Amino acid sequence: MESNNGANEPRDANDKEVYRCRLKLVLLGESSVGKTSIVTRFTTGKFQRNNATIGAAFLNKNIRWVDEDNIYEVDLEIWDTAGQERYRSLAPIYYRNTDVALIVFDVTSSNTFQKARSWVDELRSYLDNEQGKEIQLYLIGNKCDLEHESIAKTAILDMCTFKEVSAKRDEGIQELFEEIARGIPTDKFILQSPSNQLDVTDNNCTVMLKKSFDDLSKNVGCNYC
Amino acid sequence: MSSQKEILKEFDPLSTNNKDNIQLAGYDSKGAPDTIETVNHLPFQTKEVQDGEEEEEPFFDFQLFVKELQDNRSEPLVKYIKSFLHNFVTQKSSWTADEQTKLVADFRTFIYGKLALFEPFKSMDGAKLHNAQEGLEKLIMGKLYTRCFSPYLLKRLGSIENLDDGHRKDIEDDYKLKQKIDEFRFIEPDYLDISIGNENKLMKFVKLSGSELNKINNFKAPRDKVVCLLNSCKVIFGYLKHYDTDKENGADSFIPLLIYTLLKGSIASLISNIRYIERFRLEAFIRGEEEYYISSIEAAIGFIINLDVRKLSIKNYQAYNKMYHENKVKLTEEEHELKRGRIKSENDQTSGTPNGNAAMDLKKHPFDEVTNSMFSMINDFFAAPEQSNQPTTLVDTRTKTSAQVTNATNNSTTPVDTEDISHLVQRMEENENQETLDTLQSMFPGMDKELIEDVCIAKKYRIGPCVDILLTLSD
Repeated sequence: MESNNGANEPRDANDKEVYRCRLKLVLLGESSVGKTSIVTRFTTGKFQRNNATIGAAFLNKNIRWVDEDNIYEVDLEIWDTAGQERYRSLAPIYYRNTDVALIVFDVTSSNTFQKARSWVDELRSYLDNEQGKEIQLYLIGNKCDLEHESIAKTAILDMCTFKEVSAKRDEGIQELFEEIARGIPTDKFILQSPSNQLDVTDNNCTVMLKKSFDDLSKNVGCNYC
Repeated sequence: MSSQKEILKEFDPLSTNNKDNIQLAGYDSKGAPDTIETVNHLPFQTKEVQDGEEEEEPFFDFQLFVKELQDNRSEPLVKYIKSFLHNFVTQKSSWTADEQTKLVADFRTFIYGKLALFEPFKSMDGAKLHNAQEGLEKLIMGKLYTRCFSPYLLKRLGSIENLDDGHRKDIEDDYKLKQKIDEFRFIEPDYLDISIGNENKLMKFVKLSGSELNKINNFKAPRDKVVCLLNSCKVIFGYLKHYDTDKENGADSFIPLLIYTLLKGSIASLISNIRYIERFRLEAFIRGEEEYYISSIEAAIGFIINLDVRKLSIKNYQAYNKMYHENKVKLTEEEHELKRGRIKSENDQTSGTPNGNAAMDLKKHPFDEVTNSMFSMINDFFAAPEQSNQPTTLVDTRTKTSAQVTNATNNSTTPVDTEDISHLVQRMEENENQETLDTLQSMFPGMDKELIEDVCIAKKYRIGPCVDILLTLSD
């Protein structure tokens, strides 16, 4: 496939290659623990112009960094869920195909911590049933600016990364998302080729799928392939 | 948080006629983008904008695509499409839902691959190529709609027994959902823990959101249906942002209101619509925001299908029971009336009461006219004289003589076509604009009519931005 103008080529000084990755992150946790505040703090930070979204239930943001050889870009999609108990049964619709789950609780409320534990359990059993799926679990204690007792080390902490943050004071939030992005295994990144926007225009892919269409089109009696 | 401009972006289906807005920011070949940030994004996603430059939404332009397809050099593409459509409609009287999905997906992959071989598409990239891909999807699905959208297929085949399992399940699930909505249509916001910031406004916005969602039945293309769905969600966020400001306005507030909208909106054939989108919209297009809001509608549908008294927060059971039973009685009465054929579907539509026939009685909408005439243009174009195999089922009222067809094949567009269509689009747009104006006036009764009209003109009658500006003005 030819590239017709230079516009889409990587044009960084050293002509580094650009690797991209799309990452889906789902937010779980009781309502009022500040799930949405954490992400709005993150997406409307100093360096972010957050525009064009329909509402705060879905947000996305690019995280980009450069190392010696390459440029990495993570297209982070943040999916919020309704935290009220009555809507809990809806959560599986949101966490299917997710890469990361942030399970948020309020460090000043043991009740929300118990809820968070049950989320961890639910996700574990979901992962047990879905072979080959992998979700990074992060347990997030929000409102750490307020006075609180430290969380007792329990078994659930072995299963996920634990972080304390404060959405109100913007403490630990940028660091959290950066850690998530940098924790993505390198094999999930795809080298960005200059002129294809969709996978389907990729030549190999087209050849492969064309074959399947050829097979099918025999049934349809189509003669143009 | 951020300014209203940033919150609400327009996804108006009318954008097909909006030439001014096809500014494809970041993809302009002359002013090359100064970063590579945006290259791989789909239009609905948030983009980081460099140097404080305003990002214009890349509008979908179907007419542009149609013109491109009429270019002589893309003739082989037209042949492929024509052959596919012909075979799809003639090889078998009806495919199963799974077969349809596979056929369309495979053909799409095939034809998208072919775009890389023929001008004017060959030299396109980024947003222009995306526009062509969207255009192809719309063209194909517009043609196959009556065979793929379950309620229409039911009409075509006459009886539910004639449907395959997949399509039959759509119809059955639509019926199940309708039953549940009827059973619980009386419930009040606090039963779902919706905080009532402003009850009067809440009802108006819920009604508007529902009517936006109901427009899903007026469009054939999967993308256009998604646009209706996103517009509906946008109206909900418009309310949350301005009347429920003490909350975070994330999913905690949004999901309950979405469910409430479905319960009050009597949306016809919602499940059939969602399944149709999932089957026929290119998966790569349903990414990010589109995917999130489609999932949310599914979640809301799932909640309603499983709804019972235990899922509601009820403070006064006596009052609840009374309302529940009164509603039951009313339902039975309505059913009887329906059977006696006394309910006129037209009245129901305007008064907003649930309409049992709506699913089966899909009104012809003015938008269909334009789409149809565009399709017929393509049809005529397909029906080139040397082609012997004319798809008989695709005959339209606007069939032309072969002389005109030849003309259409040789030139990029015939003046007749352009004039006809732009006239039709204009008339439709006027109707649609008047409708928007009326709705907005009823939502903001205290506001000067001329002011509302000015806002509409400034915002090109796109309901999302209009609502947002009017909210700001009314504060």
